[in-house]
Amino acid sequence: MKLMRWLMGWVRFRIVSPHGGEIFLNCCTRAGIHLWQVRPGKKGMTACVRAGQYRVLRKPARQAHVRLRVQRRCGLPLKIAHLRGRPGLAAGAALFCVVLLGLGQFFWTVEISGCKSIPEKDIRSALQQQGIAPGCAKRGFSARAVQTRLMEKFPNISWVSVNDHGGDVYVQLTEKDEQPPVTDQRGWYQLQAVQSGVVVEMHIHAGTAKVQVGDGVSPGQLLVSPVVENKDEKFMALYHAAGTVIAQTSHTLTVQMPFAIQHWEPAGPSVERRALSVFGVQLPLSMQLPPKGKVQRSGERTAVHLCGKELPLTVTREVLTPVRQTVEKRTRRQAEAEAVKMLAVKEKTDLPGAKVVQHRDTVKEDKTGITVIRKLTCRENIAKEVKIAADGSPA
Amino acid sequence: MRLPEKPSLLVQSGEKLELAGNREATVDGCGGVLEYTQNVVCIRYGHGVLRFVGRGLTLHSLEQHSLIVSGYITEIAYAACGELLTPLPENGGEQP
Repeated sequence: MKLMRWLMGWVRFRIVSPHGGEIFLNCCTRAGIHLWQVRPGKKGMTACVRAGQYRVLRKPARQAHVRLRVQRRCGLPLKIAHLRGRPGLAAGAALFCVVLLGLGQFFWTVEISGCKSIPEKDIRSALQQQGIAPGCAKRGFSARAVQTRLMEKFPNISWVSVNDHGGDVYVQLTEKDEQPPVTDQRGWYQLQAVQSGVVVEMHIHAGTAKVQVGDGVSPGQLLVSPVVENKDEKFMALYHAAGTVIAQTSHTLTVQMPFAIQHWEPAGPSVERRALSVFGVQLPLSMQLPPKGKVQRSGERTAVHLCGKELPLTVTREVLTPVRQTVEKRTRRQAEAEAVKMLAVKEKTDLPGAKVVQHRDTVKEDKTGITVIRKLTCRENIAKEVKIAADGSPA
Repeated sequence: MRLPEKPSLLVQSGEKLELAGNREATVDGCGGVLEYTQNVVCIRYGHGVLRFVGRGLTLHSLEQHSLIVSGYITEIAYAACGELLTPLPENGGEQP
């Protein structure tokens, strides 16, 4: 109550009357004026009234034929009375409230945590499509809907939580763990050829070999059977066939290499430009214009942090380099050397487990370039475990 | 929902007197202040007159139909319509 009175402001006054102030008090109560701390005194009664109601006391005072003398004024309105001549302060306070309320209707920051294999950039892009980005309005925001859409868009997410706290959005997610391969120990397996070739070496650990060294095999042919016959006790048993079957195989790799290669090269000095992004609105900080013609863009975006919190301010640095297309011509020897390098790389990627025994290159030339065909003779394991069903057919 | 019922007397008259020890008295249904000094507060109360006698009496709050008398209250007297209050001693009710 005291605080309220101080906020509203109050006045203590003296009732000057030769007859006492009872009539004045009754006039005040009839007029609906609330008085408090009414104290009798030798010079007359004193009482307190709200600062705004002091002027209203004139009428009851006239009716009761008393005069009022102000003794003390107190409260917030009197403290700030000297600021009445500065409307800018009130306008500033009002503007502050309006800006505060206005900015509260937008998202300021979006913080994402828990990304492992999914790029954070992709999550941000998906959120932006749903209207969640610095500078976007909060109107119609539904955390549940956003969570559902994120789960639909990224099947690798096992759990996601979207929470808004004021103008900040926190996205926490957990990605699915890759299921470890389960070794199937049950059932029967046979070894089949995955590549045609001539068998040159066999190492059988379990099962019965169906081919011999020197045999030619085709893809899908049975190499080792899971059925093992015991001749002494006259019964047959099924095993998990295991082993390696090394065969001499043939492969062909082809690489085309043109004589002319088009590439871009700098055609002038680079231009560096900076921009400040506030709520997604870019404000240029440089006056330089971009170079004419084709340009190559590179740069970086740096978010401004305050006390470990990302602000909706981003400084963008962009380097624009004018480029032009040039054609580099190569001789046949240069093209061949380049093709050989590419073939070596291709061998490693396409035939990872094969040991190259022999290779022969054939070069064909036309107007545009050369085609190098490499025929390889390799030694590699061609056996592959294939599970079979109970009736003996591959599962 | 049924609200608790008020005592029938209060509902009829609208007047209520509440004492907090002998230091404070809250009066609802006050019809006006008749006399007010440091030692005596006399008010119109219903169809009669209510008088508080004591020392250092102040009107803590004064509103249209209620007031709070605070101080050291020594005597409360009530006179119905047509009756007279007992006269105060010569010193104006001041207790020795």
